[in-house]
Amino acid sequence: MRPPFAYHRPATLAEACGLLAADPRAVAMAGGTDLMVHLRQPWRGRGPSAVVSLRRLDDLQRIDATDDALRLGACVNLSTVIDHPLIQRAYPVLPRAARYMGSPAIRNLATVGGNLCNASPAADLPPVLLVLDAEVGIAGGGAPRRLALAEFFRGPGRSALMPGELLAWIEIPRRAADWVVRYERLDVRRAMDIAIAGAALALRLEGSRVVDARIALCAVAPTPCRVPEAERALIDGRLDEAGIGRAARLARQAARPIDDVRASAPYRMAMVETLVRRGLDEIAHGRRRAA
Amino acid sequence: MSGSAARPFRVIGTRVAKLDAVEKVTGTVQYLPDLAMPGMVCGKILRTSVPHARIRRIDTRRAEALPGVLGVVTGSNVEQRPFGYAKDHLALKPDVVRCIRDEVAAVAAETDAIADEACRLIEVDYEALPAVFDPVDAMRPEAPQIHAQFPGNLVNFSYKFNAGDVDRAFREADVVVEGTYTLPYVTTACLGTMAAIAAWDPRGTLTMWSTTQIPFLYQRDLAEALGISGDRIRVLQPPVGGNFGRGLDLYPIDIIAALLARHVGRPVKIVFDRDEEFLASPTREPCVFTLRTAARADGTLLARDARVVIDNGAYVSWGSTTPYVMMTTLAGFYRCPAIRFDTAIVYTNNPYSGSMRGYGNLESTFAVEAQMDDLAERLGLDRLQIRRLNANRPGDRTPQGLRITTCALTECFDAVARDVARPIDYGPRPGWMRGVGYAGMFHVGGGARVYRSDGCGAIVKLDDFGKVTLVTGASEIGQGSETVLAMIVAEELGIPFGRVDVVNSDTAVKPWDVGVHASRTTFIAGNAALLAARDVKRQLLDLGALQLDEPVEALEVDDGFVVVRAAPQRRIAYDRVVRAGHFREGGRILIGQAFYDPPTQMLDKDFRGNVSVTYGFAAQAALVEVEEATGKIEVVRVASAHDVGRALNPVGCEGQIEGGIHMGLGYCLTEELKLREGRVLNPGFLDYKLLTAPDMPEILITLIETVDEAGPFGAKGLGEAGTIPISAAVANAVKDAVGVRLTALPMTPERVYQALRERDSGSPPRRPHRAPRRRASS
Amino acid sequence: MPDQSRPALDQYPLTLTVNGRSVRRDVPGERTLLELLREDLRLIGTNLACDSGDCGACTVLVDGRPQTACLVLALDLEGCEVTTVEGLAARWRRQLDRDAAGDPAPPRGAPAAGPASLHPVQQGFLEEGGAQCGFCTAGMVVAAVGLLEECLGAGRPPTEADIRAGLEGNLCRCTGYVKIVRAVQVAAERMRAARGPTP
Repeated sequence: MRPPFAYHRPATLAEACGLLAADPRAVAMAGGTDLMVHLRQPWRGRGPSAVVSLRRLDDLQRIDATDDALRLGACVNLSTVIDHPLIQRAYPVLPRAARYMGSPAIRNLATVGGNLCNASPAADLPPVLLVLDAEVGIAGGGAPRRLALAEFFRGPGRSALMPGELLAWIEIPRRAADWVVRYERLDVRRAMDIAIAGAALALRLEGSRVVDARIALCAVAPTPCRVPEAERALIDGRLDEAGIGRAARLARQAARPIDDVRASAPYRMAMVETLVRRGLDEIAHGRRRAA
Repeated sequence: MSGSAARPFRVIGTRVAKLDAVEKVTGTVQYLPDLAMPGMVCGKILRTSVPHARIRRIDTRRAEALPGVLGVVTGSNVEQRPFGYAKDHLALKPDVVRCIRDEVAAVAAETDAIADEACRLIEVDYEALPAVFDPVDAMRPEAPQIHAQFPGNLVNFSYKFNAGDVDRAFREADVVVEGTYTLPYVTTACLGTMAAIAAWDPRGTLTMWSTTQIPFLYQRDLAEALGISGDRIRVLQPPVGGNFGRGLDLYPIDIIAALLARHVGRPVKIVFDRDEEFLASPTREPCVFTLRTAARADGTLLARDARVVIDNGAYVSWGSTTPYVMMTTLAGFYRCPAIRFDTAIVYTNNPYSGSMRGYGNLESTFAVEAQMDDLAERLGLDRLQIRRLNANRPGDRTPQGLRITTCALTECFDAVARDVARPIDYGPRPGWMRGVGYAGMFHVGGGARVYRSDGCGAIVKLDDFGKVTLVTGASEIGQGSETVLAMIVAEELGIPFGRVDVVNSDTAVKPWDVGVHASRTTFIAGNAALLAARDVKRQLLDLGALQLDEPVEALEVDDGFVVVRAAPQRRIAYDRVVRAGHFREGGRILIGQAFYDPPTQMLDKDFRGNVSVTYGFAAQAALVEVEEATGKIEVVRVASAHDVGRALNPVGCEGQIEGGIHMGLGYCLTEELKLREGRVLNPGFLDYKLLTAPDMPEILITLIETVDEAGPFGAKGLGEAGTIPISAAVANAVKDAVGVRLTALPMTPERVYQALRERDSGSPPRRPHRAPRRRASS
Repeated sequence: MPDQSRPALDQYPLTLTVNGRSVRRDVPGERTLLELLREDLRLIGTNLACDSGDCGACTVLVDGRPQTACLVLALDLEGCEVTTVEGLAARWRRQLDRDAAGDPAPPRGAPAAGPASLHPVQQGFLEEGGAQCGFCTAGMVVAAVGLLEECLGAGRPPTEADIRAGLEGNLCRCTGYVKIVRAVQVAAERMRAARGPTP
């Protein structure tokens, strides 16, 4: 049971943004897998005045590949992320991350954009997209704007969206397809769970020399975050035991987790080190972990 | 009581579909939330927002004025009497609330949405009182008193048992092991939540539709709580979405539904939503179990000394009586001559526990089986050998006086040792260590006399169409009791299983039964059904003798016919026999009946007595892998062997064991209802983690048939057995794999990781992890 | 049920297909698909167990794909096709009829139902003991149908691991999933035999 609200199903992105801008208490809904849960316990019983459903916005479900980038519409659902041949080929880490999330029924509803806009510190797609150097496109009353994903997350549950704005697409640059990318998270059961800690790694290698590196973590800070100190430690170095160990320790030190019902802060920090070390080890030895 | 076992069975032991399976797979089954009746309205309960407080003021006027609201009840505008095992509980709290579950008001309204809104409009001023959430703190003299009539916050149940000279045994022992085990809050987490519909008729008779599993005790207790006589309550039990012990008491929801319905003059339906279910449905009782075990160098057990501190929560429900069963295992599982057992059951401002599958046996088995392994390690003995050495045997009498008749405990261990060791075609992954652990259990298997009567009634009717109806006192809670009872009747009467209907859901119709608990239903209700079927069979043969003009001794039943044994071509089908008996002068119809109350005793004031006719035994072995770097445990394989007497319904037996293992593994690995300052932090399936399909191990089951002559066709009880030893087996397997002994459940990756790092650093084990201090994240 | 506390204008027209039948209703914005099914259409086979998408008991097929109905707004399904547990037998028969006729277009309306008619997944649950209390069964069976249609449709008979993964969002408290997995394996075999590899 949810508190009463009006319902709109706009036909265009402009119409959707207009509805949101006109009514500050209206909310946008894509798959609903986060929002419909939040609405069960609205603060003081007051829910939104209206839900603006994005279901009819076909543009938000497009997947387009150009020479420069792969662009995912914000309403592409997680099942599509797993099944789509373009994504499987170019960025297999995305289906891997998506498989951690929910269940088949949830993935048929949940969207990439929804996962980003919900801005949970523990969400799985953000660290992966961060190491892929993703950018997002935001539509609103004014001109559409492009933002580096790192600037999109402002705090737990808070994104950079202003009133009247909608996340329209997520773009992954073509150069990221040449990197070696890994994502692993720690959880307690094999489905329907949330990360206790997660680490995404992306390396550009020449032989065994690390030419460039990206490391991003989830569930260990108020937002998903890169770890520049660890990245710098890897760049121009070799992927040997000492280098991997140093990077993993730096990642651990950068983590600022809290204690909560799922895990304690010290354990999360220890797991950051484990996940980063393990991911780098796999890359170094060319091993692929069982999905 | 074995039944006609001269020939191989026609029905017993075959694989059949549950009687209600078609309704369940097609979605035509009607659970309590699906029911609607003319004039029915929605009820919703308002609970306190403070765990321990005095209610200064309740103002319901705004709620009552909301359009669509029919009425609001509080502790001050209804007539209610104390209820519960210790009568320390009122359904609607008039002045003091003692835990976060406590009900302060309830609303009846046309829709759920309006009832919800109305609850939000009820204004309550609470004056917070000092509260206590830890049993050890609650026992201190300066602790806040939760019930004025129970000073010191001690529930006045005493479970003190002594046998033999314990102190001497410890002095003279070659080895003593000790440990303290911390067992958490878990909950039944049934998919179908608690619900009740109450409807009063113009004569003042109350009909309840309930998720109860003790309809007759519920009828009596509810009548008392409402101040009416028991004959004015009728209890109906629609199909239920699980129970596992949840429905073993009368709860505020039941009384409140009845009070609301009386107040507004309309039928009222209350259904818990999921958050409320986690908050308000009874839990397994959390406890701290301290145990010492003494043994000789050859591994023979000499003595056990145990003390259990139980967090009772705010009121007494069945959780407070679980020491009965803890004691039975402590004093009877494996042969151990000298026993000391004591408990402190402590009121706190936490939610109170009820009964949950296993009922104290998981906790005591966890402690006992940990120490069997510890003894083996200290003495350099094989872990299976020390168990075989001390295993219970047929003919044993435990120190409490429980009489072991059939017992295949040793054979159960042999079976799981063999099955867990079957080859696996892949080794452990890098970084993972493999280990195997064993644990056994014993539990009542032939009823449990915890109440004055342990009986169950049955009526068997054979009609003009040759159709048989069993009217049984036993309730169906999803476990398949009606199916196995129909099998028993079908076997005895020599008819196909599909010819038996079962009626079991109306106290106005069915004969008395104490309730579904203690794995008693197949045994007790089965014997009752068997006796009633025999009664009908006698009547049938008498009639057949008249019609075939033969003496009764010359006749038998076979496949729906009354047959002359020596000349089987001379036969009459049942329907003809019955019609001939019915439609003649002085006609009669065929109804058999029986009430089976087993020859057992309640425990006396020294906790001695044989409470069950027979006992069930089982053993489990777990093969696990533990990841050193993270502390994750994966259970690869569980072998589970059960002395079931006879597997009447093999599909049902396996189903109970498989489901029991799931519940036990959850207790062991992932489930915990987390409380902080008396509030539930994880009232949802996201953070109260039931194992999913991919989480489950391979399960290998062995059913051992000792054919207990006291059970129907030799059967013993089984419903709880799968759940009881598994946590101990996994803990022992983890010890085998990585050398750490975890003494607190659940064994989360974090706890295992902590233990592994302590092992590496050589530091002593820390106290069990407590709920974190800082606020929870989103 | 008439809701006396809200103004009458916040209702919207909705047309969709449920179990082969066209349904037209006016519903409020916040109406979930699960509420529409259970309360407005009295299709009580699909159960409400958590209302948060965490347990899968309310799984239905939307345009052939499993979704948790408690998280879906009814109005979002304008023009869609919903199948609940009550519609599975007919769905199977339609698929068989279509194969027999060689006609890829679905027939109009819902075919007549026989009393003993079950979807192979339902039949499998019956034979293997996949249901105990049954509260999770509707969602479990529907999720399994969705899984098998997808796997078999792609010419990929599911492994045991595939089945467990396909049902990972459906919690069961009674069975430990053992007989559920077996039931789905049996059903997969039957469906493959009945329809062969489908395009």
